[in-house]
Amino acid sequence: MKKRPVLIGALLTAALALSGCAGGAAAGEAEKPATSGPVVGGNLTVGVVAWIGPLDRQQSSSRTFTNIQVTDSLVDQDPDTGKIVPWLASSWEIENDGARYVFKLRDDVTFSNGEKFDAEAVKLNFDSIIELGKQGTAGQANAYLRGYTGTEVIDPYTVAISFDAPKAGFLQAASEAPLGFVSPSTTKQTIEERANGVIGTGPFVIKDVVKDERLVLSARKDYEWGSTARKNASAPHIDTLTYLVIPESSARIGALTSGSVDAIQWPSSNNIDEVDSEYSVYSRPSAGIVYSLYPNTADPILSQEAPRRAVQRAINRQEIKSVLLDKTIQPATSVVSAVFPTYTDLSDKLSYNPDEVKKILTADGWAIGSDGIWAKNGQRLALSLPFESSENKALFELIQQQLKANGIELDLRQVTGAELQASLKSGDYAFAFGNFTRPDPDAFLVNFVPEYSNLARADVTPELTQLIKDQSVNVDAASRAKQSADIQAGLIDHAISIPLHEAVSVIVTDKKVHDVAFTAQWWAIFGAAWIDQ
Amino acid sequence: MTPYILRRIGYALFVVWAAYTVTFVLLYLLPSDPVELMLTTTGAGESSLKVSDEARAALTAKYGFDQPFIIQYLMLLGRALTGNFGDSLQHKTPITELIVSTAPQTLQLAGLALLFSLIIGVGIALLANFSRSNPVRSILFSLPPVAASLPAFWIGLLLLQFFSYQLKWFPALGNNGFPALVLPALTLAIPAAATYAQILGRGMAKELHAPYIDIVRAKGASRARVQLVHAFRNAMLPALTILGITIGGILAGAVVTETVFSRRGLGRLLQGAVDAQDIPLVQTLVILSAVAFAVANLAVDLIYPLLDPRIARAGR
Repeated sequence: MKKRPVLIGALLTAALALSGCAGGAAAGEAEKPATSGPVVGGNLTVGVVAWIGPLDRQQSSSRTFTNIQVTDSLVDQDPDTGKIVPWLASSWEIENDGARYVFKLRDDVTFSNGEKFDAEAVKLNFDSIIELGKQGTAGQANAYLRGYTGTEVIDPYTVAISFDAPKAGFLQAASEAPLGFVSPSTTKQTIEERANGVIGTGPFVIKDVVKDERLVLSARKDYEWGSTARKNASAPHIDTLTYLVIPESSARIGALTSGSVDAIQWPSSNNIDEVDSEYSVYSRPSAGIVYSLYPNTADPILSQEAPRRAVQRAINRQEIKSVLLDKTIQPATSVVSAVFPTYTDLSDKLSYNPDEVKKILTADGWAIGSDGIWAKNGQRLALSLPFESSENKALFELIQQQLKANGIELDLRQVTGAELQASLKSGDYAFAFGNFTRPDPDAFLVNFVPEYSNLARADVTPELTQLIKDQSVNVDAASRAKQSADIQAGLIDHAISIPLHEAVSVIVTDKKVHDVAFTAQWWAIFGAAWIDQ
Repeated sequence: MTPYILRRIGYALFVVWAAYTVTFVLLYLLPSDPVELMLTTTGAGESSLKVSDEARAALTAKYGFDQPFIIQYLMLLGRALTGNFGDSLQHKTPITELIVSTAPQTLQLAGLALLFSLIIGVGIALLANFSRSNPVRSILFSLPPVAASLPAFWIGLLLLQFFSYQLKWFPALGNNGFPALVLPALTLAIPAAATYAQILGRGMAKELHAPYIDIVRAKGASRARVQLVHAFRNAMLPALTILGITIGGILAGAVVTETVFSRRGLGRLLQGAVDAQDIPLVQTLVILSAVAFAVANLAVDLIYPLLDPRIARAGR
């Protein structure tokens, strides 16, 4: 039921566009107003595309952001530098080569119901996440705690978290929202009860929940333990933060222009360059694996390296940028986005090169058939891409044209979500499409190592798989960064990842709203936001 | 009369049962695994660690997916008969709770839409036949086919644009109060109204040429009496059939309308449930829809004999 109301959509964006040149600034900061500073008070309403799912971040999927400000984590990640900074933990030590993490906790933190945040609370939370995992939920949190052997309470404000093997990515994982803390009383609730809302230590408290319609958060006035990576480490400036579900993109834009809401999650189907200067644009690329085609390396054709590499060079990413992407979105220059810690610029290896395509395929024994498509041993170079959302259709059609011009056939197959999951599970695809947000080299584990969901089904290059596993146990930051750079180059060289463009999170606000910020991942947060009175 | 009523009730029950069974079979035949989808929507399937086999088995058993087809069917049917529809896979809450909290929103919407569609549809049909001006008549007669061919989401966006964004008469979104109900109800009403106007208008035009109308006229009945009492009553039967069918289709219309107007309701619930292949929830919503359809048609069937006594007699 995803209809694209083209005409009215165009009408609305035309109403937004006056000069054609866009206001606001790039990458997470709008232009600074001339006023003296944040105004305290006011209610901020944000139009979002979909309901939030379970209101328990330990359980819920990574796609939601509305509930991340209710809980805090042990550490935070600075969105600008990628560095891990203190949050609920004031300091930490890594022991046993990364198999044991000792955290010193702040002693002034309370949950919004008055319960104290201490070492016992940390232990209760992590132990209960493992229990949730056994019941088939909290998958992401459990992935972060993989190999967990227990939490030791050393003193009321010191904990040691142990794993059965070194776990280099844990410090960054500890900053992720699925490992945010809920109150001890919440950990004792059932999965269903927790799904209706949890109690945390965060700057906002869940105040009102109307499923599928609105989530109202109220500011916690005694909050004063925000991390140094946040612009406002104390209580939020605004009084309440309301997320309204407005699924239809034209209706969402209309709600902003008519003043029904103060900010909206920008629909990716609409070009941000058409927004005029009456509105502020805040954006942040996802720090992680960019939107990519994951070749199914178990596929008879794509198990061979040459066809994969040919596709890599037959895609014209600059053309994708100029035809489809607005100013907030950059074409891929590596497996990961430019804000990813340890990012390496590999744009040379990703440039469009039709001669190289011919060279690679000819050398591998392929020849152009009478239908203009490469073939080898009677097998045509025809590849399938099943996809669900119409939002990406234009991108796929452009790639289809680009590949066709290079003698490669791409069969686009639009299916329902359920069918797509079935295809991915059974391996009935040549390419899968997706991105993955996680600002840590452990992001490579997910789609390129067999034990994980592994869309690329990649086990064709054992040495690369081994390198990805090696970095995940390497706590030496410098050599791990080097490994990450080698992995990026390896995935591109062997064309196990065919990156297309960066993913971006965009919030457009009325000019009276200031200082919307993003986490290192890309989630919009409103703890520092304020509204002109 | 009684056998007629009993037979109609029997048909209604059959429709509900058949809808339930067909949905079950269709959902069962879908290629994907509902447990897999459930894990995916909670973020455990894709983008992270593979879920352990024990956790998967526990979930499969919890929702009965490990049972054979026929057992699953009988189990769900048996529970449904006692009013227990189980838990939603996606929301993890009892389905009855979900329905109780969202159904009133959609019922209000459907009720007002029905009222609007009747006023507009009947109004246009009567005016078209009553008007003595030829241009007015042809405009009124050509309106319904045009309106019926407009997609609902387009009507919705157009109404939003003018009455919410420009004139600011009605709120653009949400479920709060009567004003928020007007535009969505109108969106839902227009295609239905067009159908009624078409059937009723053409029907009346036809009836007005029937021989019995000449007799009524000859007896000296007024123009209004000829139209409202005689032609209208006879043209109403086919329109009533259509009315019964449209009420059954309200849920389908609500999917679009509720999305465009950001309203909570059964339509949005259904859309989410289908996307997530939430079998128990889809089943329940299909039953609800089938019940609405069956009840509306039963009501129509029971009204028929009152309007045209020949029907009950023929059915004996």
